[in-house]
Amino acid sequence: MLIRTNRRGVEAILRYSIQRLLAAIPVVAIVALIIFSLLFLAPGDPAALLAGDSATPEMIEELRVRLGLDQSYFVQLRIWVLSIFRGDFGVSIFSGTPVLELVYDRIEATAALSVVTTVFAVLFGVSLGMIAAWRAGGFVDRAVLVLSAVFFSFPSFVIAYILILLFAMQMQLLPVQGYVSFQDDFWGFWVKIILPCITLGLPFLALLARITRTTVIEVKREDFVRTAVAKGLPTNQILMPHVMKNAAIPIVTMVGLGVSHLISGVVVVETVFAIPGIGRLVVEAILQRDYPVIQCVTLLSSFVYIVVNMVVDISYSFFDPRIKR
Amino acid sequence: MSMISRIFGFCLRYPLVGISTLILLALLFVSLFAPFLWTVDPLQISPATRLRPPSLEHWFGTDALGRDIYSRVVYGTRTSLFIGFVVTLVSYAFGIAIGFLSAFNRFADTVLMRIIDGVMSIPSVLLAISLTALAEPGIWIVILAISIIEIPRVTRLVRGMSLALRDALFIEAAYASGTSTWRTLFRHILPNISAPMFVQASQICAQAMLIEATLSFIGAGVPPSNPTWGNIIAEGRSLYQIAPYMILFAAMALAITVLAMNLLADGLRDALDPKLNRGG
Repeated sequence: MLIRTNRRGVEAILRYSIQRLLAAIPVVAIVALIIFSLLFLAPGDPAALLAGDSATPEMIEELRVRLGLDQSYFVQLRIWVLSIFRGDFGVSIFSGTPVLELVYDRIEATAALSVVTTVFAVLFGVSLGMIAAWRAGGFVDRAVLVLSAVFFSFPSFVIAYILILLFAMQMQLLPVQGYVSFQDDFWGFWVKIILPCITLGLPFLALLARITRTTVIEVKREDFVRTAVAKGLPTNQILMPHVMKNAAIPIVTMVGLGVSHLISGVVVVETVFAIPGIGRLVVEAILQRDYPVIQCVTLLSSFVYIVVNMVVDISYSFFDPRIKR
Repeated sequence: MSMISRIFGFCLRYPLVGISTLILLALLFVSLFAPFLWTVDPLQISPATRLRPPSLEHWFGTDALGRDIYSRVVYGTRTSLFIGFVVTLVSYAFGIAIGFLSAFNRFADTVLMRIIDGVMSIPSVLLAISLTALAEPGIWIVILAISIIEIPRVTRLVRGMSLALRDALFIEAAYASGTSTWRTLFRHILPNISAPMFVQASQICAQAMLIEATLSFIGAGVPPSNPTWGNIIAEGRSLYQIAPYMILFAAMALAITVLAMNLLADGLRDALDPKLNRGG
């Protein structure tokens, strides 16, 4: 796509981006406040847990004062926010390691899984939706409607077990579970990531196919599309510049919102397929009641979600020049 | 025309609504009459008959502790439906109140909408996990956690539609003729926004049952001793390679229920407001 911009255009986009950035700040602050409050309300005495079994009451008391845990809600909030700015997200109660280190060790698997899944879901979801809309009422259209209802109703672990039963146990085509880094074993990575990606991607794909279908059908009714058809343009020249550029905003919005589903899905899919990622980390933390780990992952993934949606907001200005103003 | 034949006629005209309502009524029947449907005690452990595949004696087989999976799945219907309905009720009670408040009070709107933006920015399953971690595992903390996730969605719908109606002529007329604010809200605005609310309510009920199962599956939900579909699937997790039937039936029950609920939403959307359904 050729985007022609002059200097005024660049300035407008910059100004718009800064506006979106500023608009995201209160949301980030509210999210942080909610998550801190949850941490504050969490049962158990963090000082006693951190000090260990052999600590005397005096040692626990000393640690409590040193961590500021004897202070009021607002003082603790200040301490917590300042430590977040320093990159200190707390220490795991169970292992004693800084939570950020635990997250850092696990981020690769989750990032790989999410990126491959998003690419898969967007490619297939948008194309299926376009085909369905172009031949509305046809076979693909009906299939998309039925399948999107089904995939949206099946919990991801049910989809996972159906796929495992079919492709791993019956046909023995793919491994049941596991993960290798693509740096260690390039082909092994792809073979092992296929089933988790399909599991995670199907509901996302269904969502995208459905929204693409609805918007493309709407855009198709516009006069400029009828004109393009009437003057005899080939289908691909009608679809790409005329239809897709106008249908892009709802679709891109749905990609942004879908990231929330993706993050929730990661927790389940990593459990089923034994992938050592952030999702597994959370599930292990639930069993050990390791609150700092749960809250830190929740906080970080909310930030990811907010940033993705900010980028989505900014991308609107590329599709619709009126938004920059 | 009698009430029954009117309902029957409605279901014939909108088969999606009819079929999904039938499925849901059947599930309600199953959950109410669970003890009389050839079930045994779902908690009854019997080490002698562990991991039996489905047979005439144990229709859905037995699990690793020898419990009858058929009885567990049937009793699991109770928990799932209960959580679905209670979450829907709670999130509507709060959602309508907060939605009205922010539609008619500018200051409250600014504060409440920021909080709701914040809650909606936290991925739902992670927020639910953080909330359930706060208390001893139990059914009520699960209901609370899922309701907190769903309230913002109801609030946004109620607020948006009330704002659209606020300046309508018949609302102004109601005010002008001296109708009290409460009466205007509940007798004039609420009935006019109820159609999309019914659609969303069935979606929220479906969503609540899905989240409950997900929470139970990863060990953050209702305590494992309760027979819920999520718990049954979680128990079968480590054994699915040798005993897939442990997961199969509970998964089917869950999928059918959620699908029926979502189809009801789709059908209601067509039935209650044909304009909403342009091409989608």
